[in-house]
Amino acid sequence: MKKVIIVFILLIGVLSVKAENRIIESNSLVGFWQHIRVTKNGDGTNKIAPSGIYKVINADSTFFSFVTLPTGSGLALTMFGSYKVTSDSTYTENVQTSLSAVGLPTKNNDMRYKLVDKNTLFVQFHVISNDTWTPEIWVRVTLKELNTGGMVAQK
Amino acid sequence: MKKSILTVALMVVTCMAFAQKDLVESKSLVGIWQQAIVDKSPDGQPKVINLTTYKVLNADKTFYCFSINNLNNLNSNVIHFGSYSITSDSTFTESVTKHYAFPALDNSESLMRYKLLDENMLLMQYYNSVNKQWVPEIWVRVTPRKPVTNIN
Repeated sequence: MKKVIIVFILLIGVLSVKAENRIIESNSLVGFWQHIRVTKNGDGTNKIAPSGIYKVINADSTFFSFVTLPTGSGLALTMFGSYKVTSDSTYTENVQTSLSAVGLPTKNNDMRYKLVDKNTLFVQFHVISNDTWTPEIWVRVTLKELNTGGMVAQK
Repeated sequence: MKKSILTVALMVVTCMAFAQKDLVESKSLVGIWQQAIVDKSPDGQPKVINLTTYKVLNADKTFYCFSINNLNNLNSNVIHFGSYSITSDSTFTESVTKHYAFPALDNSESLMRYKLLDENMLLMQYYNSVNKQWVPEIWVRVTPRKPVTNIN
């Protein structure tokens, strides 16, 4: 039993040290992601804009999502749960709680993913009701300088 | 041996499950926090104004700060990250691994005081060693809630 406790402490130590760098400086699925919406301009060209939805995929196989609120009252934490990478292009999200206004499922979601580059993630989630795969584009939120002077009061 | 491996695996999985719950449903220092300031309303009453800076204090003693600017096309940045250590029920130290806005703070350590005014309101002070002053900050917890509408 003593051996088990020592191994457990060592494992937790290793996981804790790795966790920090893997979330912020990750080049993998783990990371802090901002959802990007693609719409059409009047001339038919693509228009890319952030949707206000974010997802943090932690190194410990948990994740949470939040959205920015239009009222400027900050963020609403809308979904959290765990995930399991099942191959180099698929993973499963187990949604523990979903408070999303758009009624996303609160169960296991099959996901496909591809890192287009280290900071761009293409994801598709499986919609069981009509057996389709819905695409999403996510861009990594990275360590970079604030170009707004730092703190801005929300109106 | 098989039994031992199973026991360790079970302990690790249990810890992970608690870590997530600690972050999202925490009532302690661990959590997702939004910085705020207190101003006065026209009628003289104190009014909390949200800022665009957020701090995530993870249960595994790591943290990071980020900014989402609602006024500038949702410009989003991680500002700095590191680890922290709780030293008493009202103090902790922050060890900054990397600070993009102020590189001089890379690998620095900050003394912090904190007090939970209630489970969702945190008063924090960091020690400015240049001015030899404690600088106060107010942080409001980001909680699970149903958004009425998304921003777009």
